[in-house]
Amino acid sequence: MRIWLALAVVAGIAAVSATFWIGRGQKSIPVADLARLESAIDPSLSPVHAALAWSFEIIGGRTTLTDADLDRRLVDGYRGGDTAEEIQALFDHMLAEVTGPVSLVRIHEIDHERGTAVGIGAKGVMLLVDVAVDEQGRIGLWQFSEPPSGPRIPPWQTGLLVAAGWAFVGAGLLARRSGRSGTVSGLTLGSITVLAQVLALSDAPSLYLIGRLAPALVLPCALWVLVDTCPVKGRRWILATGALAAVQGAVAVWLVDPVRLGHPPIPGITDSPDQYRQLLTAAAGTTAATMAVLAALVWRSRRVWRSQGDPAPWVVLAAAGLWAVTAGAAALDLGLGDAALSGDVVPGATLVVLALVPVASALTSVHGMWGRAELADLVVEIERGHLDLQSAVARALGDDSVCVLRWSDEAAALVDEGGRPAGAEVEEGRRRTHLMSSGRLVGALEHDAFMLRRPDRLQAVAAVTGMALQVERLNAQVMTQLEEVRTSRSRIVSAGDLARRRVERDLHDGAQQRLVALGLLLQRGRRLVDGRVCDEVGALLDRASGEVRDALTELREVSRGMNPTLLNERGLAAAIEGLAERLPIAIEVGVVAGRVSHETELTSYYVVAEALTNVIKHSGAPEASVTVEHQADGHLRIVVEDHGCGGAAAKSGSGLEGLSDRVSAIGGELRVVSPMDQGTTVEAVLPCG
Amino acid sequence: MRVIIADDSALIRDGLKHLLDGEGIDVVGSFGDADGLVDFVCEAAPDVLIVDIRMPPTFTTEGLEAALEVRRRCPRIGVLVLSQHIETVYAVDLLSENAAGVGYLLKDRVTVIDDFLDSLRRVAAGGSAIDPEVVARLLRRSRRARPLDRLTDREKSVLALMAEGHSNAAIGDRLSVNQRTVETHVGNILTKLDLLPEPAIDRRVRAVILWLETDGEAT
Repeated sequence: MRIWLALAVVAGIAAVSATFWIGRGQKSIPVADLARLESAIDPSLSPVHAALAWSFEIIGGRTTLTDADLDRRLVDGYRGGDTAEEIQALFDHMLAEVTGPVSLVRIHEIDHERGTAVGIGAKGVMLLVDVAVDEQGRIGLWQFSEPPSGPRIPPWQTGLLVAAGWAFVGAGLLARRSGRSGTVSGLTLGSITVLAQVLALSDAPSLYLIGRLAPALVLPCALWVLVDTCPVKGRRWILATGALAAVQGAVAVWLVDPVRLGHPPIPGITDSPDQYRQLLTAAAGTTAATMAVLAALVWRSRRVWRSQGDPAPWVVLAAAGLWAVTAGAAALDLGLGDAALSGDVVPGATLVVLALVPVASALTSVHGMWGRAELADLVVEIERGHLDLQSAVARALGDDSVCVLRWSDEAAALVDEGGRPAGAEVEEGRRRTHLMSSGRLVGALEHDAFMLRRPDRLQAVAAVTGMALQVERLNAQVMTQLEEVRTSRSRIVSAGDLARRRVERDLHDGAQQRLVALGLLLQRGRRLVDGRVCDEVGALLDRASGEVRDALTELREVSRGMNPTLLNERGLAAAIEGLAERLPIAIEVGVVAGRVSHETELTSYYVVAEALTNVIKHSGAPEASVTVEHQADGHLRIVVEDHGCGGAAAKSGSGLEGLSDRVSAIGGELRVVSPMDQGTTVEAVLPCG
Repeated sequence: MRVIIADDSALIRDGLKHLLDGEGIDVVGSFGDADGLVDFVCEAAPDVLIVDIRMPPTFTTEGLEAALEVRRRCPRIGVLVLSQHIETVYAVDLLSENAAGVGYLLKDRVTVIDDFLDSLRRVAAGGSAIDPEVVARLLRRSRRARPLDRLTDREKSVLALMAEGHSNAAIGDRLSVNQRTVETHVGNILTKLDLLPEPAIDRRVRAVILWLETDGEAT
């Protein structure tokens, strides 16, 4: 969109420039043309008359008149002397017969000594044409060959111009920081044109020329910036404003600037009511149209501005209004012909309009940066988590009606906060912006269509929201996977417990019973041989019985703990007491716990059993203590402590690691504190669930 | 002597039956589970019910519960509870009312036939037979500054045998000392533990076991 605006303004500038190009100075006349002119023009004419004739041809060449007509009229019409009155009479005579958009040429000075005639041509073709014929009779055209003497810009206006120029620069820098590149271009060009006006103070003709041309470009630039400040922009609007800017520029040069810059009044305009009326009409028309376009843009942008609290529209409106008033005043001034307002009021008002342009732009820039601060708030809120994404996005976007949709894999559709699938179509006046993250659709923002007018804001919020949704998604995935891991760990632990119970049961029902039965058989055999057979058989049977008992003892050790029946029957306190009294060291048992879930009891039991086994195997401590108690938060806390050698760690494959898995499987936590030579503390905190 | 055997293992039931038959002990019934056991036992009124603690259907403590039920309903019938694993709390349960005619032994003990028959007879006679493992564990129980520490090693040995349910004479035999010495030791022990002299063996067992279990706090 900005490119269209730029093109339109460039076209406008080109149009204005072209009008000057036609009458540009330093243009040599081709010899052939001169020859043709000389042959066409009566040789008795003085060089001045010849020059005037040529000049008229240049101007008139853009009319319906043919060269032949002109020549004829020139030759037929002029037979007078060399005075200004005579020459004027010639032109008046010719103009009376010329119809259509013929330019006006009014001779106001003839310098016979220098062989120069100075006139003013106008009406969109040229401003001032100096026609000069040098001593050799060569004819040339210069424009502004002599900068006018006397004050051209009052000093206070010069100061204001410089200030306004720097205001443009400052606003440009702000716009650049807020990333509004279109505005940056407009403001840059604006600052150049504003500052270039000061060149009109120069006595060098070329610099003076630049200084004189610059104001024509200021208005298009100002318009460009004001339009770009409005969030609502469309191609048609840009073309319209661009065209208007071009016309404005031309009219401004004509109507306002010569007066403002201290040039002599424009005789052909001020004393020719028809021409003047035409000019006024053109000026009023374009100014009104420009104001209408600006007002329409402001009106169309009002919802965006209002939703975002942007103060810029007031400045844009003020600038537009003041612009209109200034143009009106200038026109009135010209109409009255006394230049009363032109002295200070119109130039001052124009400068205020100019100053308002960067102010409006700067306000929007600063507001945009403030908007980015809101975006930063959004990021911070997302970072903190637990936020109401919907309202945070609404705040950052400046659209309360926004609705955050999430992509649901289950529903294979976008769903709203309540999980209801959102339809493919959006309501009238609403738009949907899809949120992508890592190349996949994670959600969408459904917002008021006017947000499309703030694409920068929308894109930024969409990017942040997309990231937030992606994070949310990944979090949910991780949680699901964690839950799966916990469940599977829990399954593994349960499966292990079940397998252990089965082995214990098999041992109990099988091997242990058979060994006892075997022991009984051996005893019966022992009884049978007692005193009847040699003692060696009895001794052998006794040894066999002893082996059976040892085997039973070993089996008991193996199967013990595989299924702590006492735990199921009597609870944790009895089971831990039973555990402790089998061990060869003194163990202080303090269990203050009611019945909790089987899982928790079993886990507690294994924690204590494993920790006590480690105490006996590794710590070398003569005693240990076991504490089981309920915490204030209802969790069960198990602490096994000794004052042995310490240095225990949950190494891979160690009992402590297995314990850690078991504890995690039910959502508990296991901590082992075991500094070297300072004892070991195994602490488990388990949910009672 | 008449006994009833309750054990879910047929091998053990048969083995015990044959063993006891050989010793002239009459096995008047054998059960594979606790179903109908108590009624039958109270009806048949044997001298002793030999029962495995772990039986169908839940394989937890059906045997123990049946034994306790028999104790309540027919206190004259002795119960000898056998188990692959010994737990002191079960011993305390069995002794909670009184210790007359109560036995609690590791199942392994049946493979030392003389000791087992001795225990069985004690229970049949209204005495007690507590597994040495139970007593050992109670003695090992850790309490700081235990009153038990006041006992000499010999007194501790005597205390263990007392707790198992042996008479003074049997203790003397086992420790190869004469009965007088044992009596002296017993007297000293009871004094140190702050227990009243108890002529009946079974009551002595109960008092000692409960004392050990609670470390003298309750008595």
